[in-house]
Amino acid sequence: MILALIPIAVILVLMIGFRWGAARAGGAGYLSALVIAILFFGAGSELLAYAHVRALFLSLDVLLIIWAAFLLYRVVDEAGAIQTIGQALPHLTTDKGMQALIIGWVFASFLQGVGGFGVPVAVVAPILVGLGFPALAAVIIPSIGHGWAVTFGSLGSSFQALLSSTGQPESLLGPPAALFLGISALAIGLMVAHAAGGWAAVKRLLIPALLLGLIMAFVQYIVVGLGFWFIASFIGSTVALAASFPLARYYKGKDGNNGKRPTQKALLVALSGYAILIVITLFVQVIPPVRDWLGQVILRVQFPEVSTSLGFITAASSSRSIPIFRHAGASLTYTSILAYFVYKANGCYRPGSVRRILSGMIKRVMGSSVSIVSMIAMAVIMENAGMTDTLARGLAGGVGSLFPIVAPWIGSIGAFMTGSNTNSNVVFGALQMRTAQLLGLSVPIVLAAQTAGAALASVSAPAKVVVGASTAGMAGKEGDVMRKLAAYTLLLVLLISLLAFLAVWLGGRS
Amino acid sequence: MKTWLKKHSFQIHTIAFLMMILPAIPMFYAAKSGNDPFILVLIGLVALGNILVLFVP
Repeated sequence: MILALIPIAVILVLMIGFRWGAARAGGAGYLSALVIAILFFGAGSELLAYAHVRALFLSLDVLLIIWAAFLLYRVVDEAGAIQTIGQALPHLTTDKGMQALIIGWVFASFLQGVGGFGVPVAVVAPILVGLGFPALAAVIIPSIGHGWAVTFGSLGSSFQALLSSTGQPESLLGPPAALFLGISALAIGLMVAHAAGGWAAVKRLLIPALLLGLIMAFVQYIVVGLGFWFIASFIGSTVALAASFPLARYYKGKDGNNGKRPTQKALLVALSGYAILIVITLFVQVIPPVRDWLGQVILRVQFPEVSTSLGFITAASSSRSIPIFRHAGASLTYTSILAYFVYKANGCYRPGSVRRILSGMIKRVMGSSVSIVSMIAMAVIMENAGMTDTLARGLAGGVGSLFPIVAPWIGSIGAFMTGSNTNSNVVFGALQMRTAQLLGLSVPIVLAAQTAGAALASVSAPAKVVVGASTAGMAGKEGDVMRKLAAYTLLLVLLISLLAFLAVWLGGRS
Repeated sequence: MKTWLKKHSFQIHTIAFLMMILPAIPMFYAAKSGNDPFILVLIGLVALGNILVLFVP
């Protein structure tokens, strides 16, 4: 069991103890998994070859979304659309608490829905500082505010990683994950109010916080249920953003200076990129002739049964099907191209924008692509060599029926250390699933606990805190941010623990 | 050396990324035909890609 634990321990120790980046630590984790699988678990060349091919497919499935999501973000950001939306929102209200809810929670969640990659805090924190919030609060508010939207945010890349690493269908995994994250969204609304103005603000803003939270949670749950999980938190936060306009009238606050107000036309143009995303998604996924036509080219490979010299067998199976032109990543690419021409027609770009968009995208995603490929390869080698099974048996024996309580903490440790819900799902997804199977627990509930715990803890990861703190002028005071964030994060993961235990107790056994 | 590696981190990551993903394609066919020495060479390439990123600070 200790040998099987080494690759995961290597990643965690290098990232937290030695402050290595995810790409570097992922490489070390892969190499240790490879050596241990060969020397101690009897992995032969055929097993390792098929494990690498499986890893390639899983990586492709996840990377297609990550690349395309960042391409869309660059297209929109280069057009100045994010800045325009950010300028418009403070004019809804001068009430500090409502500004925290609308900008620091709902708008940050919207940004997580379409972008992620640390964008919510990097964009929102400076806006809040400009509105007069203390720098510490300006970092804390969007950090906790977008946590509920991480799994189905970044256009679903973390959820895609969970699907890929476990092979479970989205129809089973989606609803419990959306439920857990939706309930946490309600708690997050109250926490944002607390971070903005203490218990007095919680009491005063109880109704709008609960209303906005319910809207986001309910819409996300419905959208996931309909199969559009990759835009679930984007749609949820967009509906909440629309609802915050009438709601803000009841919490106008005193007159104040909220900076430059963009024209209505500029705001509509800015929002057009996201409107295109909704239209394209519905067009590609809902209209049967389009769906069928785009789904004709499918990447899929059949793998034979392989076994280790110690007798651990991986049954014959096919890889995940990747409908290359109907993949969520393809929808995002179509959206990016169309949005580019709409913004260009409206004169939003300076000369050389295509080069800046593409080079910005490639430079930004390369490091994370390397870490994802390494960690996925490590996870697949561990799985096929029987290392994950060994770990799961140890966990099942050690924790037993209390495992649902522990599952979200495993996910949250993974996300805290690696700075990513996606990485945590890749590293721990299969382990959590195998442990749940051994204990006869509901796999969807345990995996929902894994990804929800990871999503909520990912916002406190040192890698993200450093970025957030630097944008609000808190560089060098990251420790203060982490201390304050830790209290909120621990409460949220504890909430998921209790929800998972309750869900299993209410009948979540396989 | 450290500064040079940091300055060229994008290029090194790109090379490492290609070394990690491209060998998987011939590896599939090598596994099907049972060509063990070729598989080991290809796994060596993937491992080399992972070793490469260890040096990027």
